[in-house]
Amino acid sequence: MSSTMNEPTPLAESSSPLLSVRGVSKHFVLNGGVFGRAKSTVRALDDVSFDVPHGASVGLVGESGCGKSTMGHTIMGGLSANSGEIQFDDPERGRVDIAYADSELRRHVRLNIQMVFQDPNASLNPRMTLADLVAEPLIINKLLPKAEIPPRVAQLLEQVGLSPRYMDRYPHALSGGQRQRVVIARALAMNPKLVVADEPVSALDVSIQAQTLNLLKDLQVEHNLTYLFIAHDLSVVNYFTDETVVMYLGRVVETGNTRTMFKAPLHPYTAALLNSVPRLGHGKATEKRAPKGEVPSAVNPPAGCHFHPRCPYAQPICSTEVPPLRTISAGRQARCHFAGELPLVAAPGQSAI
Amino acid sequence: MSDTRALAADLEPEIETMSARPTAILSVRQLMWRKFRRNRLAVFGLVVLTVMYMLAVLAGFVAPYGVRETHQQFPRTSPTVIRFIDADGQFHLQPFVYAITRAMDPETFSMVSVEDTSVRYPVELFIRGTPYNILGILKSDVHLFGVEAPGKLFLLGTDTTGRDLFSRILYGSQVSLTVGLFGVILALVIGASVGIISGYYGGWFDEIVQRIIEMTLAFPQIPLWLALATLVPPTWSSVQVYFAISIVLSILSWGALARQVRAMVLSLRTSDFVRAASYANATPPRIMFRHLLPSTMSHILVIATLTIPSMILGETALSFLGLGIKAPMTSWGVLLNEAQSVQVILQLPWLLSPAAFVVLTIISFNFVGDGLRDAADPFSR
Amino acid sequence: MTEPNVSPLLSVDDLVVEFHTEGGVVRAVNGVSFAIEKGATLALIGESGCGKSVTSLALLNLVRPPGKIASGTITYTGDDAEARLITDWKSSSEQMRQFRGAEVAMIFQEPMTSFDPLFTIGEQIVEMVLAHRPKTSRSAARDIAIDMLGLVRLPQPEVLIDRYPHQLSGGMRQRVMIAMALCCGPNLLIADEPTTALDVTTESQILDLLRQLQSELGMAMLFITHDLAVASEVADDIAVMYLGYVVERGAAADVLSSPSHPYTRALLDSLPKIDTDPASRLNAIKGMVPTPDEMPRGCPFHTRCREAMPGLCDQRLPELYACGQGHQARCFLVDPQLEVLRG
Repeated sequence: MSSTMNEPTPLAESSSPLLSVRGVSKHFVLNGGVFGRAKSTVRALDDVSFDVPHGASVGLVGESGCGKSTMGHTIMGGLSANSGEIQFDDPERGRVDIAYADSELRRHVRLNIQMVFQDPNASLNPRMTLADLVAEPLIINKLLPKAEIPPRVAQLLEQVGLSPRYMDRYPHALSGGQRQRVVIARALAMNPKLVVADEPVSALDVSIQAQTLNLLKDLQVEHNLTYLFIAHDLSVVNYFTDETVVMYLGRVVETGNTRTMFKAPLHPYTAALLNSVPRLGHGKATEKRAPKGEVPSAVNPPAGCHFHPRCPYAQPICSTEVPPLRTISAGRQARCHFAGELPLVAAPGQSAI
Repeated sequence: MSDTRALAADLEPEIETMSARPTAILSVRQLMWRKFRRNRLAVFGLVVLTVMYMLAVLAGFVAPYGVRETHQQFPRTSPTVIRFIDADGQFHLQPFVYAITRAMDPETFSMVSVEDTSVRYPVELFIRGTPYNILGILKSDVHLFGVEAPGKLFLLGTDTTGRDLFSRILYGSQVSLTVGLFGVILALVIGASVGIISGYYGGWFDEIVQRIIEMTLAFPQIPLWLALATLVPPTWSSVQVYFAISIVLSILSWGALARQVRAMVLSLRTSDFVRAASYANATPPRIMFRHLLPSTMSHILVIATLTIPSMILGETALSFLGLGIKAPMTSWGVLLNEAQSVQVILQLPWLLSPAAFVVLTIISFNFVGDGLRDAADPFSR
Repeated sequence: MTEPNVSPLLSVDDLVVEFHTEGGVVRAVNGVSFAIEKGATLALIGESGCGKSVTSLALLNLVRPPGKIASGTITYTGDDAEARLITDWKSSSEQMRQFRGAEVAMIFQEPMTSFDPLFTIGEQIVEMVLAHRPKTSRSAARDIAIDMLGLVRLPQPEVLIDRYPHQLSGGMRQRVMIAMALCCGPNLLIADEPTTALDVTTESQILDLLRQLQSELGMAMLFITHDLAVASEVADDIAVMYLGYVVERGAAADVLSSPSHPYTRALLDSLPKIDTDPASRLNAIKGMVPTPDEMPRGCPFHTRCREAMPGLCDQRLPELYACGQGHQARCFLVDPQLEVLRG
């Protein structure tokens, strides 16, 4: 039996990855019933494994409730995993497991992993000025002497395209796109290696999304950043990422090179997602092949393969046995009993998106 | 680098336009003030309160008589009428009062005050009278208004021992208006810290705090106050009693405040900006006092403003029952204490006038509190 | 041969909606004109603050103070072929109340806020039916409700009807909202970003459903969205809005395949596509949408336009010039007299 814990399946062939997640599970216990006795468990993350190579952008995609944000917060240490390992290649300390880091190690690692949140309105304290917001990580971590902080803040703001003259403004005076730039500047303040970007553009207007994606790409080149890009918009993921990890109800269902995957998905769910994406230029007549039904509740997910009730190719085995995450071809894995055997296409008669 | 620079150049002109928008440069506090000003009742309340507190500070100057000054010939005197037209129907530009004499009521055989229309005393501004001092530093004997002795000006009448009620109300406000403030500050400090800590950490500390708060809230207020007030040794000086009463009042208010702060902290604790701070390695004290406290501060202020009235009422109630502030100190409750029997109220209805001040103050505080509540979230419309 | 005057279901002419704020009068909708033919779908596209939602509220006379319809007309021609001028009716009049729901219904982005959490979905649909057809009996109304839930392809409608809104998933709630909107047989459905809050697979199902219902019931649709791809999949016609102006309108295929206004072009350009080189940068539109209180002089888009002509675009507001069959753009570049203007 292949256990995902032991399987050495790096996404990239090169040296060891910057971050490697192995068999991570996270359960939430919900209290229900009149006296709180009826407990139910939500498996928000169920045996999740994937790698984030140095300097790459890895997309973590899936629909709401698939656990992609939980994964992001688990990496950041905001949530602690129930089991599994999260190996981080720290520039000073070498490979460290941050799944159960003590507070000293966690504080150290956070200098190198930072997060960009989805909603810039919520992630900036409305009572602090831009200068205070960007300087906060520098002050807390005593990274710079006091006198050097204002010039550094000015430099960070300039890097994200904001004029330092507005350092004493408050976030509410900025547009959504500008606020997201402040969030990015703040994340960059500590010179991180890895940036976990949780839906960084989905709260922004269409014309601002492109600006922000450009900025993130420019910064990646300039600062040699690695991104874990959590998103639900597949066209953005297609443009932005090198590798993609698809999640469904807490499990990884497919990983691999983004463009190869989007052209020829291995898991029926990936194919379903790709087929559901609205497309330009197909006209009104397009009848899409969205999977039937909706994402089931994470409290009581279907047995076997979680996707089987919606899967057009489901067989009896799919409802009884959990398929393992198998390597199908070089750098590509899928959690499907029939991966590689199914006639999956990204879109009828055309490549995806 | 050059690419990023180009992008920055793209953005420059539109940031420039921000300065055109007046709200852009305002802080949250300034936005709140703008919103507060739009609420007329709240502004009215603020004006009334400002006047009240000014009167309290300047009591010695505004009051025609001293706080303990008795006019032995004139107990139970009804409010003096300020007139412009004399008994002959002649108009005088300068208002005046008639002299007061004592006479026997032929029916009840009690002494009553009657106006002697033969002697007029003009009401004058900046008249010399009883010496006083303001805040213990400014000594003077000039009063805002009054009449030349032996004329008397009892704006709201006198009490049973012949003391001017209006002057005593002003002096009483010094205690009544501040005992609440001090109590609220005390309750705020305790309530906000306990609320923030128990909301942020949760766990056993939170459990214990919640049970204690429930207990304090379950106690019947007046009896508990009474019990606590009786603990104050009778030998204590007025000042000691004053602070003791403040503490008694705050013991029952901090719980409600801590609860509300805790509820806010619970929802803020999982908000993105608090998470962002913790992902930047902010320590719990920093998160609590740099992020959570400022975010809850405006709501705390609202609660405080709405708590002061209950403190004022508490002091009034305690003093009314004779267990709060005691003579020679005076407060609105002490003054109302004189109006305890129906007989007195029937004969000397003006002794109830301190109640009007209590009502006006409390309504004003509530108006201001409502205004602050609306303004507390300046981004909503 | 052809009837010259087949009036459209709904026509909006020179609609202006103003908001009176402390800082002065803000025009959220600025001389908007469009028409919706019977059974057709018009997509209103734009970014936040472009006035698309305010326009849809104006159609139902639901603009609340400090906003008001300052000028312009909205004419509705229903099944009885009688043209009715909605802008003449009072917002709270009985006429208007009957009109909403029976003739024009609306669905929103977040269905949860449109339901009362204390009542089952059945009770809410029944209320809706009774409000418009007071003579119906309660049991008949319930039957209608069950039929409607079946119509929107909800499984086991007779069971679902007694559920509370919070017991349903997001996609199911959106279906119930559509059922509720359709229960009085409206001729026009206004859908304000109906799929924005939904997951991709659910979004796709709801779009399919709306298309199917439209062909079954023959109703027209005003579809408001910021997503060009979604618009492309549902719309016959498209109107692109920017800062309260319609900057381009025409048949969906024309507008999306040969966009004539620089804003439409830029929007399409800025979307990542399959052939976008991941190593390249996206063609972003520079700057941001100005707030309505700092409306630029001249063409509203000139501050961000790559093709802006100084001295012209920043001075005069272009009209909607024809640039194809039924295709117009508010840009001097398609003005036949461009050379004269430049000269």
